[in-house]
Amino acid sequence: MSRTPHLTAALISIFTLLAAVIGFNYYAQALERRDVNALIPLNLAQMENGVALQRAALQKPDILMVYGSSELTLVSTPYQANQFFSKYPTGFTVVDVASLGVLSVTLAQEFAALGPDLRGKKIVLSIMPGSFFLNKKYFIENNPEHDFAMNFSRLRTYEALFSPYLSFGIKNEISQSLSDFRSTIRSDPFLTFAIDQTSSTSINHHIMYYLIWPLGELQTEILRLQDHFEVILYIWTHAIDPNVQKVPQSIDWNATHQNALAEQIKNTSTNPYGVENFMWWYFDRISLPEPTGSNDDLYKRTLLNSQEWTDFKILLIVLQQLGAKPLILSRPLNVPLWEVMGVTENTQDIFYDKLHSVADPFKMPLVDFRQYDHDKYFSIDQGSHTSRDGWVYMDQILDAYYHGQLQP
Amino acid sequence: MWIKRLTNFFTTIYTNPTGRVVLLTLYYLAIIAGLILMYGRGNFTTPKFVYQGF
Repeated sequence: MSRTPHLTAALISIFTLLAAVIGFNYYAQALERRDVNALIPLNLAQMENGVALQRAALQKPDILMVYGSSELTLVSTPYQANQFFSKYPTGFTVVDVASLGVLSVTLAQEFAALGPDLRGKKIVLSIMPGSFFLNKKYFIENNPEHDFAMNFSRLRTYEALFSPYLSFGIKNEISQSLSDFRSTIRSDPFLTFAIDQTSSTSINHHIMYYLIWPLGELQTEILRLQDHFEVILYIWTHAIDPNVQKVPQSIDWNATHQNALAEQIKNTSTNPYGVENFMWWYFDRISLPEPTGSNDDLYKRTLLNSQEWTDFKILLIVLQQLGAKPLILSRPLNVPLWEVMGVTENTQDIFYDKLHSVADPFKMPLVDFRQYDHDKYFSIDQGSHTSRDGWVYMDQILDAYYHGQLQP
Repeated sequence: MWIKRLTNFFTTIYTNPTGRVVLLTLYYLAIIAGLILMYGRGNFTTPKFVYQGF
């Protein structure tokens, strides 16, 4: 020790640091598990952008996680599942992990980041027809690059690329999809390099991937600690009471439907098509109705060429490899609205065929609500963003799924 | 005066082999703590939703 004081001091420092990191990790996880129920109603950004809180929520048997996109967030209403079940009326609450413009590749990374915490867990994957019509004139005109950037998380991407729980094949497919979003990823040169290695199947890139794997794992661990720190900092600086109020009550679904439908009709007063008032400006620029079948070809091309189908399949493979038990909760097409937009019902049905052709091989329960696709008040627009009444249908399914009563 | 006393205090410790290791360890840990304070905080913010003009 007297001959090598620097080496000894350095080793002691490193071990102290390691002990502090491990200790902080355990402390943070314990605190997150204790407070997660109380943190849910606060809609913290860290629930969306991080992983720590989601992991804590997955450990709680009275929390049902629902992952999705704008169909979960666009209409803020008491019928929205996270508000409807906020007082645990039937014994559980719902967390919506969603924001506008979440792409399937983003969700795939989100699930990859949760890794083994998903094994055997009931979760809900929410989708809507509108997600599969991206970037096309006359339909849903989002910009995938913008949507990706808006929901990008370095932590999730690192977790996905360096996950020991996923096969190299699926990481290769995720990387190929990520390669379309270089403008967002290039701010992190190491991540860009890792994606380049993973998106190729050549032996050289494969070897390079395993050579950089320790560095990737180290960076992932640093990001995990930062994620924990953000949550812990919030808990330290706010008075959180971990004892949440739970009010058991039976739900009168018929009465709830009637109230929600009445509210929905009030909020669609500007037009005869059941489109939400705040969305009507979009349709106002198109002269409706358009000639019958005039947009059939455009609909077919737009739907069948969407990159989202490829990424949706990747997402399902990720869930399968991680052993999750997801319910795929789709939305019905808004048939009457599409018809006045010049798409015949037969053509519209391609969506259901495509959806089932991708999802059915995974043998995961899928609810498509097809029986409601002539109900003009189920959705607020042609993308099938959920209406107030639509939410009540969702809530019923979520309740049945949580309690193991979902009819096949 | 107090600087001289402090210097003497550290010099005395530093001449002892064990004290030297303790001081060095504290020094290294202080550097690590400083680095964590300066660069440790993550950035989890994402760009806000931008209306795209349709």
